[in-house]
Amino acid sequence: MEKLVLENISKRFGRTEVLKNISLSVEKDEIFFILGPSGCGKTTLLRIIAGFVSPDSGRIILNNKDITTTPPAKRNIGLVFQNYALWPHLSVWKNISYGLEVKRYPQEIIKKKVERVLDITKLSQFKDLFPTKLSGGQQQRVALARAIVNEPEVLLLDEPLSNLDAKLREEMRSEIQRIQRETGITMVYVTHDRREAMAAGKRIAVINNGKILEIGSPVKLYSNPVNRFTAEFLGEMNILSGRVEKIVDNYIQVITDEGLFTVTKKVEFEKDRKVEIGFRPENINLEDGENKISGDVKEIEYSGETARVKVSTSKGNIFFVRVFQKQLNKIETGKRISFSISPEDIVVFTEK
Amino acid sequence: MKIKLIYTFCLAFLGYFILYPIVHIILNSFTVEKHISIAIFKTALGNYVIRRSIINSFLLGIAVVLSTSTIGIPLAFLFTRYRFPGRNVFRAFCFLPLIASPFVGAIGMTQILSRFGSLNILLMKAGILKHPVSWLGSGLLGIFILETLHLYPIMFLNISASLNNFDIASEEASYNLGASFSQTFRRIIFPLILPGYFAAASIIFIWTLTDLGTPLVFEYRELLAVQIFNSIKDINLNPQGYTLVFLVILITILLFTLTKRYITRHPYTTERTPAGFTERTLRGKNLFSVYILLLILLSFSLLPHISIILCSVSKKWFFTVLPSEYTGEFYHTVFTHQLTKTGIFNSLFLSGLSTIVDIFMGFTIGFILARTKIKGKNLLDVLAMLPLAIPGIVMAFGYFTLFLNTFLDPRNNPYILLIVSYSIRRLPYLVRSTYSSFQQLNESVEEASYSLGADTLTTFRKITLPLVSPGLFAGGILAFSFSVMEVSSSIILAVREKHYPIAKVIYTLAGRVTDGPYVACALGVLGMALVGLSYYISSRLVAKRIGEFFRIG
Repeated sequence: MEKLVLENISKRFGRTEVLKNISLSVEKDEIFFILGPSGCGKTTLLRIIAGFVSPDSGRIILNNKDITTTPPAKRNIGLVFQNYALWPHLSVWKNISYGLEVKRYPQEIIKKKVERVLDITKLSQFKDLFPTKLSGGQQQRVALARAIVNEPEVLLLDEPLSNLDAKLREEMRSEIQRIQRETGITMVYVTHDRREAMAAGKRIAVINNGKILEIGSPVKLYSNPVNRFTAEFLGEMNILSGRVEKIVDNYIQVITDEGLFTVTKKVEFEKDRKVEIGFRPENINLEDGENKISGDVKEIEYSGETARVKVSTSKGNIFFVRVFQKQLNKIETGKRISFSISPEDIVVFTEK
Repeated sequence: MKIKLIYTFCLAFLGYFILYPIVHIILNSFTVEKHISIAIFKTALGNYVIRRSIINSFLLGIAVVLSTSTIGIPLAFLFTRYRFPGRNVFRAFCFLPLIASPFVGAIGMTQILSRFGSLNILLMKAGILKHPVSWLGSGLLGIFILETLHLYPIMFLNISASLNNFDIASEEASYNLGASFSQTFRRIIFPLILPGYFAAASIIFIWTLTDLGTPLVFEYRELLAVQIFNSIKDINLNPQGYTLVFLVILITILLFTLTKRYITRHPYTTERTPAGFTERTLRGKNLFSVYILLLILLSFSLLPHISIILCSVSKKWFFTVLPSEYTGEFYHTVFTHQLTKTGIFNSLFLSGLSTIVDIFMGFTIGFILARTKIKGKNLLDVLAMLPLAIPGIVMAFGYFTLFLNTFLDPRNNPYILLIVSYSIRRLPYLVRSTYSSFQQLNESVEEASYSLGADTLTTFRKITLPLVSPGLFAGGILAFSFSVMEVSSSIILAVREKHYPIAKVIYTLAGRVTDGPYVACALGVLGMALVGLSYYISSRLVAKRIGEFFRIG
């Protein structure tokens, strides 16, 4: 069931077009991720949903109701700010109860609701402290608690973990997932950290330069991206330019300066079309097989269980190959190696 | 070792010229014939006029705090939260009232608001009034108007700074949770700007309470500052003045301690998000009404300035809205008349010397505070900052009474006391600016010089001084122009005409019947220009907004 729908949202700040025709829909009870580099427009999109910025065109629909012009205070959309925006002059309890108090809930209901949320966010023992006395992770939880106590229709999270250190980030990420499960709140989560999105998201929208490039599950976006930006943003990718040479049944053949590559056909292509093909370093086989490439080993970079090998071909192309430790005995800097890629592991990009 | 000696000297100097006069005042207000007693208090408070004066001063102070809040808070909101064409020009104009001391403005305002002044004539010509109205009444209303118009920028600045200090997200978080603007203002914004508000309100209250020049020009006697001034003449016979000054000291200490305590207890600064996000653009009807309101405000707040300028060039200005004939002769008089010539010379000479004292002391103290580990340097810090809180009238009264019948007796020659009082009044600005220059200057910059073989003196001359000097000069220029226009000490300490600085000359001329007020206005315009120019130059030097010189806390 669709909870939140954005239809053709566009926004300019002066001459800069920050958002271009954004459309997406968020299902009830899901955590929907918006992933993109800094400055790509994702925070603006979130602020448009919250009502702090009005779009130049397009509609925002919540529960089948157009809320494009509804003021922020009337939307019942929660927002967890990147820097938490906790009020330093109010205690944890007061910060959390604020939303209920301004809506003039009876005291006993406020007490019940705040206590429950304190419990969910494991903040009960800190309820009388002021925000400045709390650690980053605790502040983050207060921000979360303050937003969810209001039982918002949708909860927006703006880079909620970016101010935390690596260990705490992981902890809080699973906390947020747990809270989402327990409360069933629909969440829209904005981040620039691909690991965060891939680990926790069911669906991710990749956004760059104000445009949504692709929407899909982490597995789909990682293994079969349509867009080269998505492919590279989600992980390392070897890229070759070429032209569609032949189309046979379920395969297409792409001619590149490293030779002919056979690729499993996932979408329709016309012959002679200019394309780029890509494959991930970990999908490369050191055994002989289809789509073979040879080159000299230039560098080996160890990183624990695997190593990243830089290979340079006679045509001057550089490829990265990820190999397991036990395969390393076959590889030596300066020596020539050959490798192959199965047709189903190659992706064809038609868009940059 | 040397630095300890310098430290001791600074401490002794400040102790002697700041603490000693205060102790002297306190002791004298509690001593009758060498016995401790509160008899003087009883007599003073038993006096109807004095009781009236105290109450009037308090009410005036509160009224001015309220009126400046009414103007300053919305103004600060407008300029920090909204973007609109011409914003920077309007902002600059909103600060202009600061450059003319209200006492000079008062001279011009009498011309406009008096019984047969411009306003009445205008209203009568328009048929709105049949008979002239006495707008200034007893003078109290005039003082209230001038103080408000002069001081609202201080409220504006402090509130703007507070609003800029906390993240707009704090406000948005409240709207996001369903709060209305009034709920958000009451529960989030106001508590967060309260420290800044306290600071501004204290400055404004004390400024109004202790401003001497303005009531003197309006000839309104029933105010604390005027009573203190009057008591000086017969201080040997009637020690009531001491108790009045003690009262001022007490209020000052109380207000500043409360503010300081409040600020340190609630250091509400939150992380800022980039400004682009936070400002909303004003358009259409809203923009139009904002322009109208700003124009009304500015035309009121610049009225004193405009009236002084008009006065200074008007040959004939009787029963007409604007002068009927113009002349430049009063400016000529300023530079040829004996009294004004003396005043200008005295002011430039005394302010010049006091600025040199300020630069030396400011630099030394700033250096000691930022770069040495001398024990007890906090004491020096407190002493050097104290003049920010002590009203000029208190210092002047203290000097006058303390040095009576000594070799520094101001009745014989007030020069040294004037130099000391000018420099001490402005010392905090110099110490602040040097200290912050030192703090911004990473010590490794100096260490790099040492590591390349330079000795202490060379490093100081070639590295430290050039890097610190913009701040120092900026402070120096401001100190100079402030001293030229300093009112309380000049009026109280300079007794004989040949010792008069500009402020006292203006005051004296304003009281003369012939062309005195006009010459006073011409002199006032020149003073205004000097202050304006020095703000401009010093803000250029340190790339700061003018307003930052007026903030505490």
